[in-house]
Amino acid sequence: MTAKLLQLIWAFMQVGITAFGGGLSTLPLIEYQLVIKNGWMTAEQFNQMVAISQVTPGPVAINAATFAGYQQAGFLGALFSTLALICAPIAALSLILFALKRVSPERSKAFKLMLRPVVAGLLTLSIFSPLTSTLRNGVAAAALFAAGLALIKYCRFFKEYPAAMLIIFGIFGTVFLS
Amino acid sequence: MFLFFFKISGVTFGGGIVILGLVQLEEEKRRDIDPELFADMVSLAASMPGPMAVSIAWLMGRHYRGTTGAVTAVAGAILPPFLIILFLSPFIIKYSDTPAVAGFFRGVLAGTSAIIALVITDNVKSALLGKWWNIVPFALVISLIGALHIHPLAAMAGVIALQYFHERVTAK
Repeated sequence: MTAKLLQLIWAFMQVGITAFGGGLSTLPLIEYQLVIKNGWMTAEQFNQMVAISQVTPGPVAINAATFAGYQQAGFLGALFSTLALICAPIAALSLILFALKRVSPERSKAFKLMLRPVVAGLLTLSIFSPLTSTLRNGVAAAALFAAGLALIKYCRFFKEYPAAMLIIFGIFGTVFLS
Repeated sequence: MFLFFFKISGVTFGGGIVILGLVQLEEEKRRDIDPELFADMVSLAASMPGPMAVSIAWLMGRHYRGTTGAVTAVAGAILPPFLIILFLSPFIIKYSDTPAVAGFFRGVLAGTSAIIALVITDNVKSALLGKWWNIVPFALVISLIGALHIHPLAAMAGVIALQYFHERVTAK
């Protein structure tokens, strides 16, 4: 049990430290730890977890840490994984504020600009797993994907509340994709 | 502070940029922080690793009440998602193989793929336009992590270091 907890903590500390850009761009980093390196989840389970994180509030990385932690080691696993994930950003912030007192906006802006193509690369990676799995789920799933593109792009309501669209798609899925 | 972030975090789907917008809206209602200082905080939070919600909560909590404020603000930000997933996890693990639940997730996943696709087109376009060099770190991240399965920690450190040196060389 302790060994498992330590593994979880180590895995999510690494996710936290590399999670520049936040949001969806963390997915490939989480996938690496959970699916490729530690084999805690199958690709399908990982995709289910991604789906869950999109219809529940909160950053996807926190959702993933809590879920994977619980799946592997119950409540303590969830607790320690989530804490491990957030300790890296907090440590980074504290360090930089301790060293610089006040970070000039020009510098953090320049750094952010430098990160942009890196984050764009991570984002591009993040679509592979959900999209290949969707296309494998058959024509109806592929049609939902296409409908989603159009709805988010042209329908203001769904653009503002994408989670509402996802829930509707989920209900659709219960009927047509089960 | 705890309630401030508890409230925001409880209604924010997707995280990332969305949360910054909400924090800003709520903050404008309170009007007790210098807008310029707030912009600096946002900028710093966005350039740090980890979920943005955590970084911005830490910075704002720290601004108001020092370390205690920072800890309570972060607690407020992560408790709602933590509790919700904790509550759902046993059900998801138990029923994820039943056809109806699996179908629900497939539907959500199809929509999620669409959302990611649109986020990517926006983001990649603006990140790559302007400087031809930007394609180098972009392609490196994809090939190192995606195709070669290099450890992301090493890959990210390498690419960021490369970016840093490139910046220094071109600045001269």
